[in-house]
Amino acid sequence: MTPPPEVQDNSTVDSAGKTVSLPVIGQVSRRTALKAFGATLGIAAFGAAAKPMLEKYASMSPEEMLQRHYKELDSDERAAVINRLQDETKVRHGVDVTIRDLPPLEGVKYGYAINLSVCNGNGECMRACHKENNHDRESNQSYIRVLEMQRGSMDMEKGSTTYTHPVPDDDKFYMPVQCQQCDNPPCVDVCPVEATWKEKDGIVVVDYNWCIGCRYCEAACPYHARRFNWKAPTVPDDEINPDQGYLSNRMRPAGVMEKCTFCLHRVRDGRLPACLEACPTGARVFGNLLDPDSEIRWVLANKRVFMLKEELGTQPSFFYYFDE
Amino acid sequence: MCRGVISLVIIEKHTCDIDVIDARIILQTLPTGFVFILTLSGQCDRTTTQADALADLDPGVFMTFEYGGLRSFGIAAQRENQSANWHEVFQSAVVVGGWRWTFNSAYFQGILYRIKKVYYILSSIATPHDSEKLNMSYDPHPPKVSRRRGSWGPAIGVIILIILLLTWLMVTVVRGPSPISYGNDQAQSPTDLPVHQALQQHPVNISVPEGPPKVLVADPNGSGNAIEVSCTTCHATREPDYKNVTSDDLDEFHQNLSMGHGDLSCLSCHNPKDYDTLKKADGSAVSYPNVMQLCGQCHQSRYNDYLHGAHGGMTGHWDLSKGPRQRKACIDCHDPHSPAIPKMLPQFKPLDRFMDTPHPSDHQTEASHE
Repeated sequence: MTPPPEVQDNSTVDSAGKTVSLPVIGQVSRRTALKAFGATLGIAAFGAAAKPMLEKYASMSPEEMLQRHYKELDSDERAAVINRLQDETKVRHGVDVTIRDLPPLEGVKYGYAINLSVCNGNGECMRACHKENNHDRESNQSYIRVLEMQRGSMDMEKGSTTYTHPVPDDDKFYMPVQCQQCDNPPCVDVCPVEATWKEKDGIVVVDYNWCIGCRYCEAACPYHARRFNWKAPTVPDDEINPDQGYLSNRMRPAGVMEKCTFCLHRVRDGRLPACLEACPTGARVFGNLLDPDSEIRWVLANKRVFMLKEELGTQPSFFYYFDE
Repeated sequence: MCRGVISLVIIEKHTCDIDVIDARIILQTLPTGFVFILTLSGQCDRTTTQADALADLDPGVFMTFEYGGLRSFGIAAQRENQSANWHEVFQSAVVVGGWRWTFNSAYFQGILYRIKKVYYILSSIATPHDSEKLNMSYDPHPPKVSRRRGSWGPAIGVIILIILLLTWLMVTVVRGPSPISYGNDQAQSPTDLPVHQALQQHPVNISVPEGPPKVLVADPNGSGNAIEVSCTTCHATREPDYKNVTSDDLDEFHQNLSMGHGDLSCLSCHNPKDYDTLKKADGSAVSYPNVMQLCGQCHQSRYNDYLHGAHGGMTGHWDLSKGPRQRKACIDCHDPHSPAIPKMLPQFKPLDRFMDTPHPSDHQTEASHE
């Protein structure tokens, strides 16, 4: 049993002769103390749980916080945003980068094809993507997955990405999967804030400053082509690719989605995507789907071509073909 | 198409993946007309995708609803919680003595879900048939069963109302199903815009092999120059032997050469009349730098692919009006004596959680049976 509280020091006697307790700490009942302890604990726990969010916004400049959607910015505002991002990269990494905002080319819709008869799964495309797009070095992030598939099967869900043996295995074929730049993109449909959209040249892009990181698009993509930045990508300063695009490979913050953009900063400059240039087997073909003389159109007209998960109606701009 | 019939399909499926094929079979049993698909699938991440895809496939289906966005995200988050990365990023913990309380975003999703549930319960209290409860004094032990039973009524009612409203809109305003969309409204169809014309201002530079080859016959001499001789230096004095097929048949020189090119022998390609050139099948000479003509006479379809950019790869510019392009020759990738690309060891592996084990669900099932 708890002894009765000490009353001599902290009490007085009123005119009716009753003892009156004074509101001092020593008089707090156990119930009140437990309540106060619980409340303090609850507040502390909430604070600790909300800490990542608070840290994210604490490191954000007012301009970044108030930046509007990419499509709502006029050219001056875009230039200001890009200047700010370049300055931020300079401060954080000590590297001078050039962030460009190249517009879509008129009369161009990009298409990509991979020759599965030739691809041997060496994965150099993943490495090229990793370097070109300033991906997180710790997780070896890349927009491409090369799936090792059983011959006779076309089910990408049964593919394996973790093979380490010499390739190609005689029993297997190899299928690189990246963003298919769908004409009917489920990822764009599900975005609650319209932070991702399809550009006129067919590339599905993300405004990293507008994305809230809800990951709906990641769940919606039937090709598992989207990637989430669980933390800000760590890239050694001397390995940062200084040729950057606002909608493609600029340094991303933590908590946003990203995806293959066909190396938008390169292809809108007329150059080929990094993964294509890196392929040691020459399995990749890229070009303008609207140009009847382009390489990609020749492949579509002359090769045995299929689209991945065509039955979903996503209308990919990405194709796979076989030589024979 | 008969437009008088309106069907409502409610698919309740708590396992992941509503199969498009399954749903299509259901659709075939329905009369032609408007079909609404309402998928109730709280645990599926891809319901939206598949239901939308279904709507695209069948012109009779033009509207799908899905329930479970928030909830499915919460469950997906819980699944992610098993990974190591998750803890570093989104999880916080309060540790008091030996007592530990952890939070992550799945927890907050759970709270939001409970708030949603409370809303349903409150809305069920406010409905007329439960109106007497509004006058009720505080009851420490409320009849939970009856409240839960009533909690879904308003939600389903609202959904059905929305469906009816949209039906009326589609029938009276649109007059017919929306055409199947073959693209985002921003995407182009081939007839929308003039085709970007490649002006071919820049060349396609094909790598030219060196040649004819020189053979190193001795170590560098006193002045530091390697002693190299051309093929004819030796071969001019030796008679060609057509019986030699592989390097094993040779008595001296070239014995380390591994030969694995079909049934070809040395003199299938090397010109016995002039060893500093190569020889086509018709006997005419072709110079070493033009070796692709030699390859192309047998591998014609591959050569054709190459000429159209579908074999051999390239670097530089896809748009030749903006810059040049570089291409490799056959023998830059293929050893002419053993042209199959050798096996390679994958050097780069993303540390990706996707498909870490080929079939994790299968393994779990097996473990639970044991």
